[in-house]
Amino acid sequence: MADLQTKTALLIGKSLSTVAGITRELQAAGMEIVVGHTPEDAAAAAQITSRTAPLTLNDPAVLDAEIAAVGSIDIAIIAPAWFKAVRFLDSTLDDWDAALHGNFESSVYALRAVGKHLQAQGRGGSILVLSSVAALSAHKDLSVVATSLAALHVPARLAAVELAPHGITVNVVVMGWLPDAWSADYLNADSQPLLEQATPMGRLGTFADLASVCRLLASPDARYLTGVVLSVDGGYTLHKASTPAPR
Amino acid sequence: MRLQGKVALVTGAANDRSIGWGIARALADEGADVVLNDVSQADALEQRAAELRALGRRAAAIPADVTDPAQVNAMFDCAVRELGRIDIVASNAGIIRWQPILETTPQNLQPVVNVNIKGNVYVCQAAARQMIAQGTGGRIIITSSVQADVQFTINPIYGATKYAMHIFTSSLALELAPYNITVNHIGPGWVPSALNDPTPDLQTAAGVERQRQAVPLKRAGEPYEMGRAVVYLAADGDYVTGVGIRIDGGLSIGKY
Repeated sequence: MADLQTKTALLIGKSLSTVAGITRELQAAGMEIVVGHTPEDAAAAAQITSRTAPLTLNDPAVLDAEIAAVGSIDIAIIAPAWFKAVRFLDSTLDDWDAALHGNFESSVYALRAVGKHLQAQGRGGSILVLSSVAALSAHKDLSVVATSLAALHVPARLAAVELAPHGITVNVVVMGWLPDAWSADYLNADSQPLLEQATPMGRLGTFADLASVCRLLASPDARYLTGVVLSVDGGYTLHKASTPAPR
Repeated sequence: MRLQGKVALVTGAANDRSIGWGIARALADEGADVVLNDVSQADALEQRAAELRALGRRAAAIPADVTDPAQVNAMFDCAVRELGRIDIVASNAGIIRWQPILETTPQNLQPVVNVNIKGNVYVCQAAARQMIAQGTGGRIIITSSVQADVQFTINPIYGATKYAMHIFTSSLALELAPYNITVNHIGPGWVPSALNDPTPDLQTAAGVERQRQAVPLKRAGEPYEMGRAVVYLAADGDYVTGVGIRIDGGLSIGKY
């Protein structure tokens, strides 16, 4: 996939551990990375890479202009921001507000903004929305995360329809469990062996696994591949009947 | 009459063309006493309740906004005070706003998320707590939509909220199974309810005919037919949890 070496990817996400992990892998593949971040994450984003862009993720009118100001991009990767393991019966209004805003609403606005930007550039492109296996099969204590992530799948698929005439693909990449600050609340020393056991490939994922699928979907090789929900999970979702219940 | 002695609560049931009213009637026809809810239209809601009382059922009309947890909790308190218990909850209230994804605004997105996701969250939380306190299990049925699976390009947020209810349903089913509370969803197809009045594709006779032709069974669904699926889940679905039943005349199985 040598033709990715001239490509620029914009990563958008409040989950900077995830953004950092993907950035490292894509930079290693020769890609130029811009990290879009909330204003309060400016210092942390600057630790990840030199090109950063503050984004107003809760106001689409402002966000559209901010994304346009980033300049030329080929690929946009939108990473979910909120994770917490909590029983449904104990979940609070604040949990739901934070999840629906952090994972769904701000991602919809990011999707809208990068879609418009790529369309205006007029040379196609690729948008990837990251999700989790938690959105595909029920997990103990993850109803809030799951609901807020699953909601995002539909706008992504509809953006694929709207942007297809412009040569822009939109796909959902479903991450299996991988060690990351984002999901540390669920993925811990107790749960890790159980989750490995529930994965046919017998191990958790890595950022390299995730990034390789992002690279494939962003490359011209995948130009006819749009609107799919692709799990990169070592077969975990095949195996959900035996999904253990950590914690 | 398989639901005699059971008490059901149905949200979004004031309009006489609504799926909620279809659910309420189907449950009442099987003997259930019914608490009817809607956000406004208190007169219409009271009239619906009177129609159920005319069938010999106990019925209560309790207006409440499902996007306000305090009102939802007060509704359950009031329902239990009036009818004694809650065995079945049809969390059905929903709204729709048509807008393409690239034009989505907070003004359109937030109300749909508030009613169609948070409304279900608050109602299901209150329902589960009441059912657990009673200790005799329960049946929760969420109204999803065929639009969770068959997506309409100018309706991404509605589709998103309905699709999200599928994993929400299975997550709750997992957590509430130890209490013998089942959680399922129904997926109505094209139903000529008031919610569908603004549907862009249905504004002309030709559009309605195209819609009819797109349905393998060649007709719209009736609210009462949605209610029959709820009756199945409430009365016969003892071992059915975490799933959805589409009632769409085949609309979602093919594109043309």
